[in-house]
Amino acid sequence: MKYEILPHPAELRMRIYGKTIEELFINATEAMAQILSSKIKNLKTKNQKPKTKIKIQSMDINSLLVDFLNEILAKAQINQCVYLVSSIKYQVLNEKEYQLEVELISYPIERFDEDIKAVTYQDVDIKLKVNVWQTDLVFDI
Amino acid sequence: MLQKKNLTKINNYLWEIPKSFRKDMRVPARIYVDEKMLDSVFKDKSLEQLVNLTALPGIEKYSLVMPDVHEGYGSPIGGVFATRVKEDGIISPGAVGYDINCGVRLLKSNLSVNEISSNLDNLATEIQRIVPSGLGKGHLKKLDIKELDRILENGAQEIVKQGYGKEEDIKNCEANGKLELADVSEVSDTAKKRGRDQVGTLGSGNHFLEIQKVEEIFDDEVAKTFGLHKDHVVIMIHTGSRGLGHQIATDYIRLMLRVMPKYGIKLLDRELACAPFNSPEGQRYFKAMSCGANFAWANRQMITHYIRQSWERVLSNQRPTTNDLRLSVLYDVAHNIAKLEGDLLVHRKGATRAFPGQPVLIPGSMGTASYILQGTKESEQAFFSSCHGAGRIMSRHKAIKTISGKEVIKDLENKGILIKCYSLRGVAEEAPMAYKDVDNVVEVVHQAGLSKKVARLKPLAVIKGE
Repeated sequence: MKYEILPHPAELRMRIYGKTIEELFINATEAMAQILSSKIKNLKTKNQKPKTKIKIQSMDINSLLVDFLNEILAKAQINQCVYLVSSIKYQVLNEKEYQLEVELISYPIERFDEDIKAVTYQDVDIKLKVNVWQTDLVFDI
Repeated sequence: MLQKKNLTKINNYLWEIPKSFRKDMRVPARIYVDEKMLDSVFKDKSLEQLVNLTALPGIEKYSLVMPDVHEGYGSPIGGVFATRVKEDGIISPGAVGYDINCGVRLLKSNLSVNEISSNLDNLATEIQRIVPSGLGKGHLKKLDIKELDRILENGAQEIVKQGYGKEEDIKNCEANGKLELADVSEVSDTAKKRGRDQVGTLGSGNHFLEIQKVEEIFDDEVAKTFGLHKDHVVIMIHTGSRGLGHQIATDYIRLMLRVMPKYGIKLLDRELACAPFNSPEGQRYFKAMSCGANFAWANRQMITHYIRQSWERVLSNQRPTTNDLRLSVLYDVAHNIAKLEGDLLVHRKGATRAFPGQPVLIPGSMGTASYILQGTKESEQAFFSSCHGAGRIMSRHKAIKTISGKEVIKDLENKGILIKCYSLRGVAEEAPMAYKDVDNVVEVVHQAGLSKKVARLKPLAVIKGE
């Protein structure tokens, strides 16, 4: 399983899984894309636009995931697109610098299914459990 | 784990979690609910989040939640606390929320329900047509950055200056629709890009426009002062600072997380990331947040203009001709904001400022009543705050899975309420059964003395985001 929806009284809480940290980031991106547009699966083979590169640094791995998703979210809303990961490189530069270099594929869409205000830091705690990386994510919707 | 036995009953509408409950608490925490509601507040993380607020540096007296409380992130929704800005008090973007200055404006008409009933559908359709209400939808024309900067600096006043409103609109708006400390240089280009086409747009989620009638008046004298008459039509606008405000919050929560160690601040919940109010970072956020607040007031002012256009376009054609098509602003008030009030910085996230005498606007959930209250001197106990709505009890996801949008529309139509929404999913998400009973919530703030009931409003037509 890549991700699942969990209960939350007002916002959207999801649990994200990945065999590697990189895969967890890829699946989190796909989960957010799926919320923004359920048509993403059909869009995968068409409407593809040139790739976009982003590089982002944060103080820990949990912040890196949230900051990365918020970066994509802002791009999505400005450019009216959803994004998926084409390639990803995750590095721990030092104790307080975690870095992600990502190549994104963008898919223009006419409308969003959901208006995500932001990806929050609430409940984000990336851990390895029974050989699978996982974390919860709360989206403010 | 917090349990009922940990609470001290102060009176029938107020409970306290003592400072001794958790080691890091600097002050107690307070909960405004009645006996019937008390059990429900233990069902999610609301109280844990309320207790987290008490650990913030410089917090004054106690943190508190209103009866419409539910779990949020960082602060619970319905959360209020104040910090001492002359000492070590902090400012926290997460405790304001992503939708900076989400708030409510109420427009009064001089017409009764009977005078508009034959045109109600036309009115709702026209308003829905002219105010973009969809997901991420904006206007075709994007403002250039200079135009946007003027709005961020001057709020609703800039929109009125451009001819989209009246001077009296500004006078009847919290802070006259403009926070003076706004500084556009503290707002990122990304935030500005997200807001360029969103002035005059409703957005989605629980935001709505509603044509309502004054169904019941509780206080004749105050209603008269407010210019409210039974069976007269009013229009409620509920929206905020859209993507621009969301991005300001995102940018500054990230910044605060980085600088907290510098100020020796350790918190259990990163969503409460903060900095001392008087630090460079605290001041930067306050200036940026003021821009977000100004954008929201400008947004509600522009929507007011569109509603006035629709109102006149539809009703000026009706026969017999109606003479008085004025729509005047009763009040416009924020419920997600941090405000300097005396020596305190009051954070309200899902709570309405309620100064003595001030109209307090409480939107209900879709298809249920809304209320006009009046602030009281007694609400000083809650840093002059009141509730902000009904408060969710069912997740949006569960609502979509278990409630039929078509059924909701049918039920509301049977009650004489018209719904205009492009998406059945959006209707299901905001169905009345996903919320607490607003009548109970308002009764608690009334009985607790935080604000007094003036009038109850019944929806006639709801125009909502998807």
